[in-house]
Amino acid sequence: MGPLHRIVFRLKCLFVRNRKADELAEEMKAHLEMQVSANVAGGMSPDAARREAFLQLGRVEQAQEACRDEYSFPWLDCLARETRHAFRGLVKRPGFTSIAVATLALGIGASTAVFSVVETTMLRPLPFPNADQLVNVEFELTGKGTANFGCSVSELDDLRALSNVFSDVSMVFPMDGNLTGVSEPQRVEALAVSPNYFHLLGVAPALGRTFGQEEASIPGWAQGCVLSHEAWMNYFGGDPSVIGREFYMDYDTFRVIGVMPAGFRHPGRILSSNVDVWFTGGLRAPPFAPTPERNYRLIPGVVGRLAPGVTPAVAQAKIDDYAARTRADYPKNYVLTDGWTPRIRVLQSVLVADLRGVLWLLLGAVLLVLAICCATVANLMLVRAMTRRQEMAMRCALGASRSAIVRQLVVEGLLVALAGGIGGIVLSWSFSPTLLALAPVSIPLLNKVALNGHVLGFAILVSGATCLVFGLAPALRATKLDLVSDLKSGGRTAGHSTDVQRWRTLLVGGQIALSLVLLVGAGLLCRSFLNVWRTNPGFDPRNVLIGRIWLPPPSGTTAHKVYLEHENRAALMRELVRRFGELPGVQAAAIGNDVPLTEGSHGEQITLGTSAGDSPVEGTAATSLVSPGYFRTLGIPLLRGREFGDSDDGKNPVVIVNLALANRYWPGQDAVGRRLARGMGKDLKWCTIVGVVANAKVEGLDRPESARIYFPEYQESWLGLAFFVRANGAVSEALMNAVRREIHAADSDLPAYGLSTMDQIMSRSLARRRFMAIMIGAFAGASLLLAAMGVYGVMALTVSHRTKEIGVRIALGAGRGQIIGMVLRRGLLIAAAGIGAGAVGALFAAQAIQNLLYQTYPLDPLIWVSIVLLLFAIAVLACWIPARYASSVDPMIALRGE
Amino acid sequence: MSKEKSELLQGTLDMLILKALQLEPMHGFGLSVRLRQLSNGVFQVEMGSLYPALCRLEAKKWVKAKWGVSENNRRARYYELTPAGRKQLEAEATEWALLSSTITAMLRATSPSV
Repeated sequence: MGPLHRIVFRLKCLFVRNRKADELAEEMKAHLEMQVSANVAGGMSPDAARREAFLQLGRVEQAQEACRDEYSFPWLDCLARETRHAFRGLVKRPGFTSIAVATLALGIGASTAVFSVVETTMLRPLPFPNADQLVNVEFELTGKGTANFGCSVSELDDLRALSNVFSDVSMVFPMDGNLTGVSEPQRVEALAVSPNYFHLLGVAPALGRTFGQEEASIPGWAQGCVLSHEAWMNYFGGDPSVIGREFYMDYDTFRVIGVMPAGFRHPGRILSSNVDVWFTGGLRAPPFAPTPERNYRLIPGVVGRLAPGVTPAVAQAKIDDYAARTRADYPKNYVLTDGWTPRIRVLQSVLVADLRGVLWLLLGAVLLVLAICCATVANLMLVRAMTRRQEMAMRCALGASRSAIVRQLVVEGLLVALAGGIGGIVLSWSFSPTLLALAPVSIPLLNKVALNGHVLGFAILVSGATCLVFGLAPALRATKLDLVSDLKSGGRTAGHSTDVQRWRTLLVGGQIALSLVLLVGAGLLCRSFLNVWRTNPGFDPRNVLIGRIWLPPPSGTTAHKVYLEHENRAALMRELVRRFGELPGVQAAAIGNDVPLTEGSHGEQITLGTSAGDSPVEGTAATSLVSPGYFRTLGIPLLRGREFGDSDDGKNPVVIVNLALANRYWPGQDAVGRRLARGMGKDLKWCTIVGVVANAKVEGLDRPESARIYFPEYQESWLGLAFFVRANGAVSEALMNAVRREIHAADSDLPAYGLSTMDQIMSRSLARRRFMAIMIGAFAGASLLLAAMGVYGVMALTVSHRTKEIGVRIALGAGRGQIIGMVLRRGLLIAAAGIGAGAVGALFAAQAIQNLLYQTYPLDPLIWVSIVLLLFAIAVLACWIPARYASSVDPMIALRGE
Repeated sequence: MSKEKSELLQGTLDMLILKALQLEPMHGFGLSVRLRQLSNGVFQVEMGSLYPALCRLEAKKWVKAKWGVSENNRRARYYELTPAGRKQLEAEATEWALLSSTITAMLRATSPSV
């Protein structure tokens, strides 16, 4: 019969509580009546008998009360009563309640959503076992400042042999492929990996198997390949018997041996979408040399898993030793001054490197918003506590214990915080997908974004604590103070209200300060965005359709060798340009090798000759391959010389350079007629410069224009093509379909992909800046609104407190202007203090985001001055209504009212 | 029904109720009458003590209650000892006997013999 038993009994009674109470009442009444009868039987008069029974037995109600303590939880009753009371009180003041709850929901929701996204993309380990051991290996020439150099098969084998560093390494070689042998030709993204790749990551297939001994023993590419879940669904219709099916990729035969689970993504950089097909091989047959050569660095990337217990720092130290050894052992292959070194970086940090700035920025902003929201709610709670002083004093006077009042306020604060928390959860639920959709994510999203419980808890805790502290503190002081003065004054002019006002002033000042920080940040980011947006790209992005084609590379084993030859590629390009040009509504069409604004190109080493036959100069420049008509189609002005023509097919090698290159190497002279060549040293293929074009920001609108060389695509070409079609008007769906049809007519095995307009591409390249500007702008707007509300609230209450004083002033002859001035002065004083404090914080913030800015000075006077003026204007506006009210106080009424 | 009386009752009321119910089921009024009789009119139990005690005993499953009709045709709730209650009464009676005899002995003891 332990305490548990009694709790169970009480819980049972909880559900039948009313019946239990009725039963008891009936029972006791019966008891009383029996006593009365007994008394009457004892010879008393009925009245006396009843009176005597009461004396003997006590009151029914009191007995009932005593029983209730036995069969129920007294504190639960109490809590339920307090909750009902608090709830009613909150509903009765919908203004206060809705503003407080909405503000809290905003703070909690925004901070939770943003932090959840940050956590998912930055902090949470990759969805692989022991993901902290996964590293990227990059090859650097530290002496030359070149990164991402790639590696050779011998070097990969070396790394694998470093068993005290790596437990496993795998190459990562992204490729384009054309998938045929399925319903329609598809461009897919393929990843060539070492046979141990899936084992290294620690992932099992959903169907079939991954690579094994069978694939590892083949010198060239193995036939067996693994599909992604999406490729399986999209190209094979999710066929469960897909294992063993054969298909063609770039005319090579492949056989499906496994399908990866949904959600599995290659954890690293990819070409454009996600990897569809993984394949592998022994790296001892073309394109690799039969016996590995150190200098033949075809492999673009390597992932590895560190051996158990090896930290990245230790691993790097051991790799540095290895690099020094290798440089000494093969002096022919490694130029000493190049400083060849493999560098490892933890995979997780590589993946989020791009996004890190944006996410930290968001996190900082959202914490400011949370602080502002808490200040707002604190302010509201203070006002509420103050306006209820009379009520509290009354309840104290009627005998309510201090604990009862505290309990009620606690319950009230918790209710507000709870409602805000629920609102926050709903908000962040609906907000985080939007946030992710808006976010310019350039990496495969490896984890699903889930709301972060810790952050949610933290945000709710902070806001709950705010509600409690600022709701309770004034009330606690109130219940201690003398009731008489509070009751008399009606809670309006009591002594400590000035104290509360001081707190509120401080809170409002803080809000203004934080808003200033956010506003300055938003201003700087918006300005940067506008600067980038307004940048002259150097080309005309309107009415241009862009798409890509991947020409299947020839395979040694099939008869399809068409696009192995440059002549055949050139013939296809001429055919495509002709077909596109003949479409109705098309002004111009051209072919190139990459799409502007989508990928940065690396500088290539070049040698520049001079017409006078002096010794050649070495330099670097970016390169592009373009067909005749390219400059016309993209609207890049030709400054000197001529465009490429149909006859620039390699017999007389020619190039066109941009102004940046011409100015760098031949400042003040005419570059046309001079020579340059790719690479350096001997055996150079010299090309004559036939034209100079204006600079175009093809690498990114916020990047400086680098020196660039355009080679004619009929002279040399590559397997990846991009096509450009300039229409007379906006690019229509019909034009897109017509272009697809023409490509199909030229070669029915070629899929076109990535069709889009230049405007869209441009807008996409601005996505990150736009996202930052919009997000911080929205936060700043919300904080401005909250700050304005805060100023208004404080001033309105100040005025209503001082009605009597103002009445006296007016009665003594103060003019309306003087009264308005008095109120405004006070409001502006608060604003000035807040702005002063905020300016210091904003200075730090501006410094912190400096590298996210584009052509914007962190102390941009226009932004700073206009934001300070804006805040003052808002403060004046917020003070204006209370000031007007103050000036219209009727002295007679004000004085009599007291 | 002075204060002392009810305080005296406080600790032992539960046991005395069990004792009163030992012979037959009884309703609340009957119980109070029986308790007064058993104590030769010393204990006068108020409803405010009796019913909470009954609730307690019911919660512990030492007594159970059901509605019945009293001798003068009134609806009344009859309380009855459960087997567990009977056992509890025996245990408490034994303990009480030991305790009270010890205390009595201690009070009677003359100082030299201590």
